[in-house]
Amino acid sequence: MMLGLGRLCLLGLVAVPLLSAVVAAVAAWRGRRPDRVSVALGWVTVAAGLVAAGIVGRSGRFGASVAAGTHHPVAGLWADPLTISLAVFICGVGAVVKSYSGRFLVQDPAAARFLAGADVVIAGMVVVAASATAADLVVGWVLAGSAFSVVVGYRPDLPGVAAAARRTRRHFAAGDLALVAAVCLIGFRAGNVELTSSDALQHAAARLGGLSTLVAVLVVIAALARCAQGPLAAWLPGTVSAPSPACALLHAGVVNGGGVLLIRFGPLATGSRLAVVLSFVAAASTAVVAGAVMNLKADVKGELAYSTMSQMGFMIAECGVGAYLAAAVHLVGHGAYKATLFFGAGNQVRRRGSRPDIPPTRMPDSVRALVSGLAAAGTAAAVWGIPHAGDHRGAGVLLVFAAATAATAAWTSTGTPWPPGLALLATGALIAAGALYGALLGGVSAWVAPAIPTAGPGAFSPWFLLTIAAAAGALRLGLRVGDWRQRWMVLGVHLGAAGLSTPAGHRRSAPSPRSVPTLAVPSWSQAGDH
Amino acid sequence: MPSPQTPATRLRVLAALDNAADPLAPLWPLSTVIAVNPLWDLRHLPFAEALEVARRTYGTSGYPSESLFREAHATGRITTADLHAARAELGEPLPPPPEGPAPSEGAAADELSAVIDQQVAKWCAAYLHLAGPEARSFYGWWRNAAPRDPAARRLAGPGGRTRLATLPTHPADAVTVAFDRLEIPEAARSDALRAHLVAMPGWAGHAKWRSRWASPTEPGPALRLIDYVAVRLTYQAVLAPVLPTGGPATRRRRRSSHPVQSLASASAVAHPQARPDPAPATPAADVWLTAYENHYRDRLLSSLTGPTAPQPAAPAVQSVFCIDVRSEGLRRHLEATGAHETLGFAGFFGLPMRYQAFGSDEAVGLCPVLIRPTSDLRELPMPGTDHALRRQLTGQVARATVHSAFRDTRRSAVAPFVLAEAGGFLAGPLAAARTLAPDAYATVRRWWNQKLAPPAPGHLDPDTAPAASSMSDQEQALFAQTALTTMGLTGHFAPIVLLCGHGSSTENNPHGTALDCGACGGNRGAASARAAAAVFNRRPVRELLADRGIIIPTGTLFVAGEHDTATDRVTLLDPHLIPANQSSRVRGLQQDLDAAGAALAAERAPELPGRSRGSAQRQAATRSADWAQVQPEWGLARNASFIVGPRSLSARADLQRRAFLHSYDPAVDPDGAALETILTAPMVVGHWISAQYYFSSVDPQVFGAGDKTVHNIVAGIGVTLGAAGDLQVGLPLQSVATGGRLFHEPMRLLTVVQAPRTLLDTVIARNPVLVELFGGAWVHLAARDHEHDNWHLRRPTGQWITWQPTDTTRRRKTPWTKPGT
Repeated sequence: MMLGLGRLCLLGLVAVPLLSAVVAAVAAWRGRRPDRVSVALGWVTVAAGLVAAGIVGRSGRFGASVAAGTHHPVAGLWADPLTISLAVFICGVGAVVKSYSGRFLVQDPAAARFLAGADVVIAGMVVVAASATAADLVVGWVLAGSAFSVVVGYRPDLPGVAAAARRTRRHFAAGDLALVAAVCLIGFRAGNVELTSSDALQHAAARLGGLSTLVAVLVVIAALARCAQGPLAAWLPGTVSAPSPACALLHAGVVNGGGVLLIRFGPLATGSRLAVVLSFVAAASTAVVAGAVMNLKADVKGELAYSTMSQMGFMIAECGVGAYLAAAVHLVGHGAYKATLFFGAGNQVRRRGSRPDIPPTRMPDSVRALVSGLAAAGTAAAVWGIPHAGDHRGAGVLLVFAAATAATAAWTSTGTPWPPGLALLATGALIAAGALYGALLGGVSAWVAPAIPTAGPGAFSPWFLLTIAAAAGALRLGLRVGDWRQRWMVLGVHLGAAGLSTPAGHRRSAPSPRSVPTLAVPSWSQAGDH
Repeated sequence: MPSPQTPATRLRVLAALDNAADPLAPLWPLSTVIAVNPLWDLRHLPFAEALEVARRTYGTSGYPSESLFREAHATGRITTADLHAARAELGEPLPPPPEGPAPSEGAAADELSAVIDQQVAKWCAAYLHLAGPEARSFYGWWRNAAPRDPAARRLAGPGGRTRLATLPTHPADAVTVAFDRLEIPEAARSDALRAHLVAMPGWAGHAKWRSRWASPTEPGPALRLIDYVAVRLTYQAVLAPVLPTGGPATRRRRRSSHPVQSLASASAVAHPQARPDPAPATPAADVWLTAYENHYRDRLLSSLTGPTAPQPAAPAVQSVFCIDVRSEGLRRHLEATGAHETLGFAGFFGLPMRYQAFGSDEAVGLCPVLIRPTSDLRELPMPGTDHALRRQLTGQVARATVHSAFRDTRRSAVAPFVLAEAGGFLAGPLAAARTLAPDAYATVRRWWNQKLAPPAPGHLDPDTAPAASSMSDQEQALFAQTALTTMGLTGHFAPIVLLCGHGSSTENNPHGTALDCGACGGNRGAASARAAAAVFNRRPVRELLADRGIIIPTGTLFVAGEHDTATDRVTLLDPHLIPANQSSRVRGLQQDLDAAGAALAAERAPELPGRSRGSAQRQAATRSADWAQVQPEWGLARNASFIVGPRSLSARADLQRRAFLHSYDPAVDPDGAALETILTAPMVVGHWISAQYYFSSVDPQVFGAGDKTVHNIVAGIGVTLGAAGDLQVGLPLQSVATGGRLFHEPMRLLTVVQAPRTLLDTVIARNPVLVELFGGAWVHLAARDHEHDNWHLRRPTGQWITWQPTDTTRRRKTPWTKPGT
């Protein structure tokens, strides 16, 4: 009974968005607005996901699949703590994006098309997150990617959008080809691999033999393309030309697909040292360089796009060291964070006279260093003190990053003098935030860890992640030396503008469909005839 | 070889540039969006001729679309009689003007122009974002950076690189060097400069604002016109030898599907638009527009004809509102609640000041941008509120510190990774809550802000301003006298006089300040109202006023208020300054304002797309707080007329929030000084607003800011559409149109004055700006000498003719009269 409901809900996670997409497509065709139905179905999907997650929590993992004769499922969905969490997150992103769009795109003649496309993206990503087999996953992957290139280009009349959509399609096609090839190779040697346990994947890796390196490299290429990493990053900056809800959907639910892929293919992707080196080098260098370019971007949305690139680099590097739980937490947390920033991207204008007068005195650097050290130590202790927070691969290195974050926050906020009482409160708040983060990690770890795949033999040690911190820090320090700052500024401005082929004379693009048609002057006789 | 540069050469370049920048609209930064007439510097030309210049420059006809006119005709908004009358008025149609130098057909698809636009936009944005406050000029900064730019090195080739490395230090010299290298003759240089300026009207408009309008103390890197054109021309001179500049070979390339004018040929007329060439505006468009405007005028003047409304004999409250068209609705509903007399006056109440709020780090100029602030005023804490004060300051500093710490942490080397993932688990649920229940979210946030930094009671005392720039008692009295005389309020003061400014609270809205008070320089109006009330309440000022014949009774209290035009709530300010014996009256006023606000919200609600649950006022509050809302309010859309006269003139009419209302009484203004002030200052502001809406509506692509959903804030000063490109000028599409149709009715401003026409003629004759505006048909003028007179229309020639409604059959019922009057 319970399992029946669970299976129903699980299938609903894909079926309801698809239904919603059909409704929206019909509405688009008939020139109507599907907002209410679409938003309602979005939240129905979230509710279904939560019910399914509850059942996983009570009764354990289950699947809903089609088996052909043997016990091997051909296609289907699989609910375990990891897959169902990712699926609920994706549905939640979709529901919020659709709710926001209902008002934000009120004037948009193509809003129905956007909503339909977004629904297909969500359905595809749910399949990627919760597919029971590799063949399934590829279908979801290609579906989500193709639907997203429709979503990003749903207003080709807007400046830069058509070019961004074209570029996105090209990059996604390359990644998709790599993944399809990888799954075909796997199918050729090991059949339609089940993604329901690490064991099945390890068996498959063993059966692939010499092909396993090729397969792993292909999977990594797919992930790098979807996550805008290294040489496959060029499609991302242009996509900020699309309306904000499309960007929010992209940054919360599409661009992190590469992380989902690497986590689900875990032992296969980290089975080959070559693939790990490839992904780690591409991702770590993107994390460092894109993070530095971000600071040179003058436009709010461009800054967010480069920030995403950098964050995705960190996440893929986490996958490369087999820290899958950390990667999953990162892809969810970052997705929510970045969607929020895109939703509120118009809030960056300050009214005149609204900035408080902060006294120019600063605390002495020695005090600031002391406070930062205390904050770092306090945060590390708080995180480590939470049960289960340190129970996953890479927990130690994550702790270093958390402590560094606390130290940075303390350092940046002690630039101004605080009254002692408030300073105490603020430090306490910082450590409490660290504890909350620890609680989050601990909670997620307790819930998801059993479903996290084991890392393959090729994975680096998690401590390799510190190379990112070291490189980023070294770059920032290096930029303070002599002429380098100016050199980097020019280079970074160039990098940040590369790939934005939007001609500055955007007004020359085709008139938008809603705009008032230009004047063909009525002839005098027409004027007089009436 | 660069030719030797002399000061005379530099001056010649600067003069040519000055002239070339005329068709360009200055673009104010987003922190104070100012409505401008984009063709303001062409006002010496008649309207139709200025549009012809605009057509040749921007490729836009400048008239509303034919479809708009046709639809207006179909719905009776333009009648056939209107058209006949307009034709009679404008005379027989002239033959179309001879074709100017062929605009767009000749404009070759031009990779060079596209590349220059792209590179210059990139460097402008980078300069404004990265150059510190002490940075050198844009040209100097760029000159330092460009030789290292990989894009420039790739584009320019080896020869270009050398040239980039050996540029002159002065931007005017760089312009001359580029001209010489391109072999552009002296006579064609002004045109070439203009072509460069209008290629990206947004960045050039920002530079024009900085060069001509910004105060010298304006913070931020200064991107000036001369630097801007120097960079553009240098790119052209360096790249022209290596890039194709047109011709069939270029046109075949995909990238050049965005053709631009050929910059290489100096004689090419500036024409960046690739749209199918708009035909030269024939007089027909002018006839249609005139008919469209006259129809409105006839209905307006009909509703203003007939017996004037009796004013309440002894009003309990007199309220002075801003002339803003949105005040009209509030005034109408407030008058309906009882014994209220209302007046209209520019929202800075005639007090041009630099104002610094308590605890704020910058002083803000609160006056129309046409004038400069003359005095400084600081908000001061009330005596004996030290504790509350410290609390407020501490809270403010803590909040600002957390914000800046977050910003810096986000940009640091190592911290962003954990910050993003940890922050997301907090931000995600908040974002969902904010999307699903914007109202509740805003309430919680308000509560939190109130807890964190509860505002301490303050006051504005002109007496305590720094001595150097403070106003003496005499100056204050003079200001008070001028204000009262201008609005015709020189006697019969009510016990309470409300001075009500306005502002608009919106979320996630880059153009939010466009909804604030234009008379306060795109800022909120609360401070001006508080300052004016403080002046009027001072005993020395009242004594001096009494000497000048204006006796304000001791029992009369001036109260400041602010109308939030997004929520239609009026907040009475400085409650701690209200004496106990007046508090019940003030409470009564607040109740009436609440009732009027609710009625106004109910009136506005049906016009706004996408309705939500709850009462009209609740809906308005939700819109105001909603970060997903692209149309929080209609702003000044549909503004159409500027009415100067006593309220009795318009009190019977429902002006549908389309009229700027300025109070005026000719009886107290024998020499026309007040009338002159009204016509040359507030009316010009009204004209700018009207023209901004007009042009943003007639051609949203050229004069408007495009679709809000893809706005991308650049360096905090402007928006681009999408990832890169030019800054957007004008108003967003969502501010003038809804559901694919225009909401605003594009018309020239109609000024209606009740004052002796001889006086009007005198005032116009001695003010060139009025001669230009009325004589060039930029603004229409209707007037009558007194309330029993007929309305007269002033032709651009200066001749007055008696107004007769065009279409008597359609005017049988005058739908604009308020029910029950």
